[in-house]
Amino acid sequence: MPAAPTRGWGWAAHLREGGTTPWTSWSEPAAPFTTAHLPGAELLELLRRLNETGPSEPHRVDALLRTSPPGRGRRDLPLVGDTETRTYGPLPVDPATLSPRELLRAASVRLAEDLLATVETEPAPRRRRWSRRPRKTEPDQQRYPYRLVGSPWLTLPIREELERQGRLPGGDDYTVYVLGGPLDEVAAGAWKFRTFTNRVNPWHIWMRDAQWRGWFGPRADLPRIARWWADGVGKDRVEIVTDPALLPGLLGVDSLPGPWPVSAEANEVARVIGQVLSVRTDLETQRKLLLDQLRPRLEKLEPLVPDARDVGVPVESLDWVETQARAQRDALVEAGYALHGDPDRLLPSGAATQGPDERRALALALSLLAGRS
Amino acid sequence: METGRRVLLHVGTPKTGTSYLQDVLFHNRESLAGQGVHYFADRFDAHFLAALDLMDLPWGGIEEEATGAWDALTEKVRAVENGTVIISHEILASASWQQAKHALDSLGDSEIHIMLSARDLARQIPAEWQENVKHRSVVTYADFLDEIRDPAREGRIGSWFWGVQELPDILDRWTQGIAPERVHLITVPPPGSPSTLLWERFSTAFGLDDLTIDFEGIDRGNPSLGVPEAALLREINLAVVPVLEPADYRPFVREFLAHRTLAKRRDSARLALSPSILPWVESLSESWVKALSGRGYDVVGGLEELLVPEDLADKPFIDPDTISSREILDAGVASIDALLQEAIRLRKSEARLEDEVGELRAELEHTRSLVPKQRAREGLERRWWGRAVLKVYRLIRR
Repeated sequence: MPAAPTRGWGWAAHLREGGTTPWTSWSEPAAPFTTAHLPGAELLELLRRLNETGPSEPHRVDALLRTSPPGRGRRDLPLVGDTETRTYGPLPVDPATLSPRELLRAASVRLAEDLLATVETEPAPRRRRWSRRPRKTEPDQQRYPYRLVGSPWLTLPIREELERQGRLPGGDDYTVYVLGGPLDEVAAGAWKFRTFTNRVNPWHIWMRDAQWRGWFGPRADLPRIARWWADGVGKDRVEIVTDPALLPGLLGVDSLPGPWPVSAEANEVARVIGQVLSVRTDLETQRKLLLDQLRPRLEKLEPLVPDARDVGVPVESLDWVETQARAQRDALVEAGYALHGDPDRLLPSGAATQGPDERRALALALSLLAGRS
Repeated sequence: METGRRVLLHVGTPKTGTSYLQDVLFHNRESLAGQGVHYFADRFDAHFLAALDLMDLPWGGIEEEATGAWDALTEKVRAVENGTVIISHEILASASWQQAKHALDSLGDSEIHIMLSARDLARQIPAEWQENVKHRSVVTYADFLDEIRDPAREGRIGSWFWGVQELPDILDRWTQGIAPERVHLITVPPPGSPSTLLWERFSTAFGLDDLTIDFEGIDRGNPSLGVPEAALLREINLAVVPVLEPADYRPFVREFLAHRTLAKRRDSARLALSPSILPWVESLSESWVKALSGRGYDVVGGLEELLVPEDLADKPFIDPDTISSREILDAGVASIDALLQEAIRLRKSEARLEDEVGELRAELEHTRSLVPKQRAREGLERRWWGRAVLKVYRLIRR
């Protein structure tokens, strides 16, 4: 016996055809268009918001409706006021009231599947970035042999640019430059890097846990990084750079790039997609997909979605970060490393004090779903 | 058109003896396969990994080993032409409608039976709090109860709890298109029942009664903690969770401390339902039993066993959030004792291994020293004059 028409299926059919009417304004019932259960309110509302940004191809809409929000958290939410005879299960909701966080989570599986699809269709393997070695030593490399270490969020774009110019790390008696900066920014960089390379908690939870633990972790611990290199090559070959503007001179280049121009919200989008990829693929592929495929797309989208934020330590944690930063600064100065720049530049800047704006993160995700990049 | 392949898909719920069942199936998988019952698992947690994969569920880093596990498992299932295949993991209970549909579709033309083992909420609620604490949580019992009573279920605890415990909803999600007579609800017997009764019910429901099964060395599964032990573990979490990675927490805290040490203390008070929420739980349980009765499921045990036991209100309730430090101290001393014993054992083991390494090194050196002599002797024995030299050498040595 065919299932009875319901208002929920009517709304789902309307959205499937590109409609944008909110649930509470919808009244027409329809019979189910598939044998599957009616998608949850979170997916239907996500589709409605996607439709508001423009039309989508039907096969992409159906693929979206076949997904479920991943991991933990509520899902399969019934629509308030729809035909619902059950006395159990999640409470029905008005989809308009769902948080951007829930909608972003609902989008994450489809976004991860889009990235995974690029693995299968990629025509040729990328050139190997890390194992590349020069056929001959460049003159600059002989004059400025280096290793650049520190927070990878700061150092990786620079290392990539140097390598693009043929300036590979290493060489005879290379100098190890430990690139530092205000600890609140370095800590944010540690979290940002993990959003593109691993699985990581939301910023506010990561920050709370760091404070609980009393440590930001190895990527934001400059004395530890410097000590590790000093043990290997000797202290006289380890130099601390607190002012990135001095780095080009030290490395013998005209200029160097700053961190990747992605916002806190782009990091959040990468983070939620990374949660799905962590189950769907291996870590190496996950990193490649997020860093090499997703990051450039997000960079393109940034100017289209206003009010980007940078990740920053919340004001209430700044005192604790200040204490940590002073300890790091004192440890580096006392250890006697050569210093480039004022050591007080390691103290927190307070330049940003917020986490990602969830509404903007959702807007970026919708643009990705719509294929705007 | 169904084949001769029957799949028993056991989808939950946690804390209903599932670990014991899975342990029996895993340890007997080869002999069971010879008897026509397949439990495809190359490691004890194979179906857990498959469930993580199916549900896109990260789990403290273990998910990295889960990639493709569901598809790999179901490929093996579909390759079976005749016989019974069992898939079992309790976290499958939390699958969404779409994930459950995908799982059912991926089993191909099998005759699918949904198996759900269930226990009354009066025992499940305290047990789930303990499970949270055994999984690094520092949530108090009171906060846990508040979370699960939040009707919006917006928190991680509430959404997970109802996802794996709300029996009518779990069965709705997992029985899409499956006839009621192929849905088997196995109830956990009430407290005081014979200890073998639950296994007998599993055995009946899963069709294992007439099969040869070896129970030697099977772990009894996932034991519960007493109130002071659970309170202590929560305190330990407050101290160690920030500094212990999940990969270290699992063997040292959950396995060694919780399961192998604290759970062995059987004389301490067991955690019960807070009296303040008893009426709510009673009413909820009744509504579930009402929703489930008349559906035509095969109930192994009885739906009435899912109601809150009548005598529960008369039993003492000891609150783990306010238990005396003295009682926690007793559990703490027992933990220190066990940790010291373990440290001594590990030190002895380390010393023994060092001795073994020393002996092996000496043997290696000796062998190396023999190699030139051996080669020289073999070289001499291949030549007539060499053999003569050796003869003279041996005469002199004599």
